[in-house]
Amino acid sequence: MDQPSAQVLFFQQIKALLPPQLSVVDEIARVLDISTDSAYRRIRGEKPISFEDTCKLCASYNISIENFLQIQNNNFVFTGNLGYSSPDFVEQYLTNMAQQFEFMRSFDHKHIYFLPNDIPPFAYFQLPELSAFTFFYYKKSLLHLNEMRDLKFSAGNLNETHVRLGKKVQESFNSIPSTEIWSIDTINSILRHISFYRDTLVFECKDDMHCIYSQLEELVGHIEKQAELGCKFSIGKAPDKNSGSYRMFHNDLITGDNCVLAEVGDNKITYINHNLINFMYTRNKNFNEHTFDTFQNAIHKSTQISETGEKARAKFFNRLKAKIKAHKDTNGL
Amino acid sequence: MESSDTQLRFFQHIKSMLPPHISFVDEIANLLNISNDSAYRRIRADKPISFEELQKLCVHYKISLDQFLNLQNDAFIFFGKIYRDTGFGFEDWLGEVLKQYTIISSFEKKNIYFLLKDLPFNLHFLIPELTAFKCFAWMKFFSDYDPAKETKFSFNYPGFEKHNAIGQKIVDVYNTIPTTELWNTEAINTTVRQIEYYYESGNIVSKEQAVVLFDKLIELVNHIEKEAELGFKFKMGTLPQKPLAAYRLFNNEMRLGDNSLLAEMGDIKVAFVNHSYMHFIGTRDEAFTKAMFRNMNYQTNKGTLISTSGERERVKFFNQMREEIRQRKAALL
Repeated sequence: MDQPSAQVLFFQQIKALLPPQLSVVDEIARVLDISTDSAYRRIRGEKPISFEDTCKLCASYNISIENFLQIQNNNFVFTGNLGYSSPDFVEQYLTNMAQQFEFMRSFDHKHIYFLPNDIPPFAYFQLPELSAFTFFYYKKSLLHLNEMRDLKFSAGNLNETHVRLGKKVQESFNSIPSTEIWSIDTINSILRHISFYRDTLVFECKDDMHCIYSQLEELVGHIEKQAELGCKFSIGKAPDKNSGSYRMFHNDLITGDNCVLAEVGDNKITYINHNLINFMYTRNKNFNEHTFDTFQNAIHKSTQISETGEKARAKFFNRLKAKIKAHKDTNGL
Repeated sequence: MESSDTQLRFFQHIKSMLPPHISFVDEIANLLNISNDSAYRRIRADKPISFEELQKLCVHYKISLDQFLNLQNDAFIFFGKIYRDTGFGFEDWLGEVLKQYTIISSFEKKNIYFLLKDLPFNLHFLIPELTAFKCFAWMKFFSDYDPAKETKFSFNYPGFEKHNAIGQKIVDVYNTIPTTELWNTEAINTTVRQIEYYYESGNIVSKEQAVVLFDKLIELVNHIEKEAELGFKFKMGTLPQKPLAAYRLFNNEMRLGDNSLLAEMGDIKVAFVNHSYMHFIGTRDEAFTKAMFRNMNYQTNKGTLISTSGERERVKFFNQMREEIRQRKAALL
């Protein structure tokens, strides 16, 4: 192309999107199926890239060419799954999640902001039965998989691969500093699911329901401990050098929407929850700065309950525990 | 030089947009400030166009390059407005809601599916006191809000008349569109918590105002119940008059929605996804809208229809909400 500057900037943008350990030259050579020498010439702007190559690169790295060219059109490019195939849904789901966290972990600077509508699923993964219950719910009541039609939930029916993968995801998440904004209703979803399954006789036996409530109580107690210490770690273990910092805020003014903002290096990525179980993400700079502003606004209106604010923290967690107890009482446990 | 099919298609696309009497080559040569020969070489894709030329062409012909390139299968183009791009503030948001509903309403065949975690925001416009309170609360989440001007709540705050007038128009248009809404009794939680929050935060809402707001919320719940019973929508305090848009309400007991909506307009479907509290982004992407439509249908199949039929369930549903509001009001007194 005539002026190499825009082309050089284009490749610089791609470089910024890659994990630091990846070579941009190798990546470009791979995507465009050219030699590393040819890739170098394009990166340095010595050889113009064709429309086809631009298209390939935009698709590979989810770059909005309009954003890059600063064409104002109010468009945002999002990328994500629209659904999961049934046989290996859980593995697919956990593998996707593990890949996202491992990508974030590869950066020196990383931080996750989270506005959960439900208890973040990664938290469940350290408790196998609770984790199994979550996946059971996803498959039966969100994805409506045929194989789940007449299936009942049994806490003893664990899948070792899922347990192992789930723990890996949770440990990976624990090593990334995060900020979470919870409301008192964040716990409602799982309580609603338990009650619904109780009413519709989906639990194999009463002990299964009891097990889920017990693990939920254990989890809430653990999250309270994490908030007190200001870092993340697995249940039954002590914080270690890999523990990511944990900032927790209480906000009853807004209902969470499961939105996630990840800071990776100098870039930000927004993940939006859609169709109940799926996530899509964008690297659009303006959109991500807007999301960041939204989180800052929410934090401004929230009460910090991690490390500081002992009274507010105790009050908040006591309300969560009281909700669990009220549900247990209603369900005769 | 590389021949580029994409570049050829791009210029063909531009050509198809021009009136037949205009010389395509002259037009391109003039716009890019190059000779006719150079324009020919670009049109034939003998010479790649630069990023700068792409930008000029896209801006001039209002082409969405992202859509043209179509990116990859799991990428979706969303449209929407955010403050950082356009200075999009609260009143712009109100105007945009009215605009989008008006577009949907203009189609003969139309329907909106709502999968909600909160009451449909436009329902609050049915009652002036709730309009005032919700606008007061919503405004604070827009970037044009100036916290330095933070004041106590008033039912007639400066700007209320204007907001209420747009709100009335929104209700008028919304009531012409048949809707299918999926929500559960938790949909009132956000409004209830907002009233409590502003009352507890140094009487930004006074006790008397909070009482009025709780009473008005019950009035709103009563009105929605009436609409559900009759199966169509109408303004409060008016006798239902034809033509009336159908109202289908499902109790989505087990799942809390995500405030997404799917609009059917003739043969077109547009999916709107909620983000950053009150903002929406939309897409016409076929795969995305299909997936959302499928999900909405799943949820309606699993939910309980409480409009027109299901009297027992409907009475229970609305009584539960009224009871919750009364209890929260009593706790304030």
